[in-house]
Amino acid sequence: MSGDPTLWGIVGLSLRVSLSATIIAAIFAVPLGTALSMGRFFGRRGIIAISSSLMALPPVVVGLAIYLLLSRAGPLGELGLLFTPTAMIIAQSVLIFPIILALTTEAVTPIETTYRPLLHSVAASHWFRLRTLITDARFAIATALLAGFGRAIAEVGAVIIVGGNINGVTRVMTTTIALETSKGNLELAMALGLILIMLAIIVNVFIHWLKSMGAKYQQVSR
Amino acid sequence: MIDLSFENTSLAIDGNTLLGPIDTKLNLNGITCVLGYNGEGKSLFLELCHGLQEPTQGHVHWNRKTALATRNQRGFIFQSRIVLRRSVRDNIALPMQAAGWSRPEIETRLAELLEMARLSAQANAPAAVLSGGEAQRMSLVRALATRPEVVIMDEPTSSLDPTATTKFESLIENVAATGVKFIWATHNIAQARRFANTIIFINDGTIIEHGPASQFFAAPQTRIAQTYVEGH
Repeated sequence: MSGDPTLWGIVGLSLRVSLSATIIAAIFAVPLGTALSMGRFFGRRGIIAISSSLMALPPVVVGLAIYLLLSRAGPLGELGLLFTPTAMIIAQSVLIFPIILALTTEAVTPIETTYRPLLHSVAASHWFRLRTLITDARFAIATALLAGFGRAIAEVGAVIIVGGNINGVTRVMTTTIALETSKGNLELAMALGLILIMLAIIVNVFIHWLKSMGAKYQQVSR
Repeated sequence: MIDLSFENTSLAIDGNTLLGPIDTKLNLNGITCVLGYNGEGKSLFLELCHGLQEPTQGHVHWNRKTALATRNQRGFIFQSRIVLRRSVRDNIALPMQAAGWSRPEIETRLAELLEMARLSAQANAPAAVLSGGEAQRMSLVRALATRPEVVIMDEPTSSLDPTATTKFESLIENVAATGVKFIWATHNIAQARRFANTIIFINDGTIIEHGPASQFFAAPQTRIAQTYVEGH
């Protein structure tokens, strides 16, 4: 297993696609989630409720939507992105955006409620408030990113539709497991399964560590 | 001298007038204590003074500028302590960062403020581990960080033990001696007697007495203030 270049190529592509998707989704979801926690506008609760519901978005539906968008007849068909890793990154970004958005809003809201009077009293600008809240909620936000990454790396429905599972091009861990199992090649499937489980454990260990780091800065009532 | 003026100011929430109408001009000097029974509007009055509450009618002006526009010229200490999820030094640095100070300026000022609050040893510790008294001293120097002319305090010692209260009071005395003016809501009449130069007495959402502390304590003008001073 350690010397199999095919396997490590698949693992590498999986990590590249899911990490890129996490970063792209985070760039939009973290500031937006923080802004949602800061805002007191009509419809805010509705947006939060919708983003929470979309956390359970079925990957195959996201895959289908992105497929229709990127297919030759689709509005972005001319870009020729279908069946490329870029298409997979787009699909996973869309899939995990609501997860990072909802978890960020949930994490920042109690901090914002505590900070709001002080930030208002020092006449802090909106931009300064946003930065302050993201900085001080960083451990909880990192947990949200890891949850998004965990969802992305483990999903199969979206990447198989928009990636096409092309050997050496768009074949990632989950799609390979599905294919190799159906072919009866259980050895490679199990090796990849083990790596996926290890990744899940690593992500969870990180989440627990981040939570303990965040707890250090939380005030205990005395 | 700093002028704080209220022009027919009132504050209503859901149609209920909670404060006002207040139509008066105060010349702030030294320590001004705000007294009054619970629920009579002291906290709202302080928030109105600082621009944290927008009046539903009238205006609040500091030297002819609105309270909202001049927030960064004052410090504010809340009744419920606000401890940010960061180190002690980063807590204190917040108003300076919000005001756009440069890093060297912030560092120089931080050293002074930590020393003033006697928190230099805990500078890098999470502020969450401070005791109540330490946290309140941190709140005070945080309010003083950008060298405001006025600091508004909403019952800052109400949850502190006598030792922590004494330390906090001596810090206030030192700061007041440098020319910083305080508006200080308190329930502690002995504290007001010791420190106040001026008294504002609030009842039913309006200022019913305002004048030199010695005069107020010697002969309150209203029956309710008299009862309050007598400790009933």
